[in-house]
Amino acid sequence: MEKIIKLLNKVSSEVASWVVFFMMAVAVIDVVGRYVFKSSLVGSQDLTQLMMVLVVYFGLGCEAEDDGNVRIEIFYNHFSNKKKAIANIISYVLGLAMYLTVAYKLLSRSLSVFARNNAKTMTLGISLAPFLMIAAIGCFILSLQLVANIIENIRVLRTKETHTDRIAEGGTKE
Amino acid sequence: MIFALIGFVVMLLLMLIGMPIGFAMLTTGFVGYGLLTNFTAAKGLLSLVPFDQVAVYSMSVIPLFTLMGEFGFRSGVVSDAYTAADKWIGHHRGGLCMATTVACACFAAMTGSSIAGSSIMTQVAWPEMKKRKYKAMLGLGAIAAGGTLGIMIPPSTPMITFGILTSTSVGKLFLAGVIPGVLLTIAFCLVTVIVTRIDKDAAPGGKKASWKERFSSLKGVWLMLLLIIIVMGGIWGGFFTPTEAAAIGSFGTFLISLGRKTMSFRDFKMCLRNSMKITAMIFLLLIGASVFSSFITVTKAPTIIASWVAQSHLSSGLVIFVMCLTYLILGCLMDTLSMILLTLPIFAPIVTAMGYDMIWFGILVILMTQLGSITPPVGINVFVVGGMVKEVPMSEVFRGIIPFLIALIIVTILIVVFPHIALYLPQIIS
Repeated sequence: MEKIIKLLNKVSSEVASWVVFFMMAVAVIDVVGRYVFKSSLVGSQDLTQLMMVLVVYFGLGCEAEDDGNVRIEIFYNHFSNKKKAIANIISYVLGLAMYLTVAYKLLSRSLSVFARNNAKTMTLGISLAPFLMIAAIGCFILSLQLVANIIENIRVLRTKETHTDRIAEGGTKE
Repeated sequence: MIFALIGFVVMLLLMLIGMPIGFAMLTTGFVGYGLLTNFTAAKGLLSLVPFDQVAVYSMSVIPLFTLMGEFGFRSGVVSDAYTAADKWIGHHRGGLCMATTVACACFAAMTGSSIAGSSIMTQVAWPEMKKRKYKAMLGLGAIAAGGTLGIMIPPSTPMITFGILTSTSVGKLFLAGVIPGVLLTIAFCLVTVIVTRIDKDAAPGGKKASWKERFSSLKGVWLMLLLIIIVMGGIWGGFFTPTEAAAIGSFGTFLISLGRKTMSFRDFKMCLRNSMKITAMIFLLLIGASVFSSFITVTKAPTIIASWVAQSHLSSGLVIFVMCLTYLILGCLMDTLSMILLTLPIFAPIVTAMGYDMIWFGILVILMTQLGSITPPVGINVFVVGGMVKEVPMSEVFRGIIPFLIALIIVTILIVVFPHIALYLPQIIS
């Protein structure tokens, strides 16, 4: 399972990284077109808006994999590995519950938009349904990563103090 | 009101056990909203907020300005700015500290983060300071303090977040950050002058560079300065939206890095990846904060507090003072962005009700978060610097930061007493 999650994260983060570059390119082409060729890129704002969905949602899993979450560490850093693992499990279980709900709700919204075809971008009229689906997939990948983090922390609990601090701090990498 | 209080307490408890802040805000906000309305409505909130918060054109300014900072970091212009500043002022006592502050200010004009400035300047400036026998307290204190300019001098990620959350113009906030940013740069240089006057061995002077050397050192920085002028001038002149300006800035720094051959393909991919990761991290916080903010709105706490403040005839200065104090305390616990996201749902309506200018308040918040990033026990910038220079104890870096902290407090007081310092540029340019 860990291998699948890693692969999913690798693919999604690669896509999200390149989308940042395309986002830059779209805005630059729009500006150059406007001031040099007197013709701006039609729907550039729509494209940027949709690319934001890809960057954020395909980046969530990778962010959780690297444990890039912002947290208050003032007390946490003084916990023993076991206490850290317990705190992490509580955090990740709650996070998992929330993001699975978000994934489910986004999926439902996506299907509803597919059926009614009632949510589109302003200029190009692109349906938001596929992007709602992408957001749902992103949340699902994040949820899978959280499951992996929970398993790692359970292992820390079971093997007591033998694991590294890094695992206890929520990472999944050996 | 009591629900809001309980919500805050529960959320703080979750945060204190080490729960990621974005998760803590989302969980508390969802449960609180569900209890006060019903869980069908709360689940409805989860189908709207996470997507509608992200799929917004103006939000793309976050990954693009981050990318500009990433490319700028790898382009080598920061060390060029440092070298140039060193050639011009490095021969004075404490000159390297002042050069560091100036280079930090230049880098701040390319990035919206304070940590990046501190980390890169530790690598660039500290070895030279050590060679010239600078005392670690002053040298590292100057680096840590200089890094905080990253969030005051535009572009600034916390300013963008503040603007988005309070519907304040990001362009005007950027404008408002210029004079305080310059003032802080001067104040930090003055601190070095004063410290070196008191302790003459703290930072010995160096060899004076010739005028030819000085002018030729500017060769490495003019492109960067031109780019900053295009980016910021473009926003303020109405030529670009902030997103377009960020894209032009990223593209410019990308071309500079290519031209100087300072960035490999691996570095390039790393820049893209870092921008994506920082964006995801910010949005994880923003989504949590939006849900939490919806819960706070349902509790009516902001309205109740605002009307209580109005009825109790409390001096508005006192209210602002209490808010500053809250930021100081929170600054000891959490990072810049979390502090802003956590407090704005309550503070913004009160400040608006009291009739204060939100742009001025934005600058005040940024100043307070700057203080937070160098005050113990969290002081993230100090940790970055101290973590990179293992031979110097962290306590010494914290002691070294004290004079700069005083300068920061003085500038904050000046901006509270004379709001025009921050509001002058937005007023004349609009």
